[in-house]
Amino acid sequence: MAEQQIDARGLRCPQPVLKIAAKMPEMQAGDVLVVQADCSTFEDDVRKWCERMKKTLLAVNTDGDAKTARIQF
Amino acid sequence: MTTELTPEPELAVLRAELEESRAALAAAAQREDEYHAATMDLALGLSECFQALAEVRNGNLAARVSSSVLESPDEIIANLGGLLNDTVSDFEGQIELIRRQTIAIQELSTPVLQLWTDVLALPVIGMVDSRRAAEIMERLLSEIVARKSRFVILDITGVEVVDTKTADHFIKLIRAASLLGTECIVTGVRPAVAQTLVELGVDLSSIATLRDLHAGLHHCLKEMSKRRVQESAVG
Repeated sequence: MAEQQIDARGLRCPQPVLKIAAKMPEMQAGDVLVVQADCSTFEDDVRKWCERMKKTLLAVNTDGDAKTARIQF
Repeated sequence: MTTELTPEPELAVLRAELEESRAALAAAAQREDEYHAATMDLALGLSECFQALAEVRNGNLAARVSSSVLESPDEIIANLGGLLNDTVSDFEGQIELIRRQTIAIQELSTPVLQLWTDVLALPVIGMVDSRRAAEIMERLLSEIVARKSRFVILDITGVEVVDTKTADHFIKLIRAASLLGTECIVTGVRPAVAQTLVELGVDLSSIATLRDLHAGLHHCLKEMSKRRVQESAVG
């Protein structure tokens, strides 16, 4: 199980989710993707994405304006 | 342009501009929501495609994407194309709005007020660069000539920063007004501005300065009264 990172801070919603989509081919089952973003709808977008793609959203942590989502593939 | 003490026409223009800006902001917010929804659909569709490709790569030849993804590319492309066109139109509208607002701001940033008979006031707010100094000079001199004013009060209460160039602009303005036979008084020099002028060594000895606009107007009225007495004594 590997852990990969995406720093999507500074990108407008829903571009962080597009970044997650582009990262998908590199991910294996069980891998964890850690995504940092600071756009306003990031949490809602990432929840919607996980629900549709049937991935597990392990946690969403807030640190100031930035949010960090941990997604298990 | 002379701005009266109750500048209703200018206020009406500003109100109209404000309403227009609000409408533009609301339209921009709506476009933002539409862009978000269309891009989110695209992201979800791409994700499904990548997931299906990964499954095929792993030997699952039965992998499929949902029918909505297969049906939606044309719709997504049409949506994004429409949004792009709308965005370009928005930009063009915004540029035109900014151009008109710039003109309005320029006119309102150098108002010449008819404060009293024979007394004009020029309140200066913010930075004065060469371009603005030229605009102020042109407007003030034409008003002096048009109204045959004997006094001009240059109120710099709204000027927070002065450097040698700004001081030079003011001195030139005052000299030009003097050449037209108008007495120029500077009011509202802030302590920080006074300190900077002294530190810069700007020579303002030839320029009459008073504490505030009230004192400036009082000085003008006193001078006018003196001159009337002198004129009647001569007459």
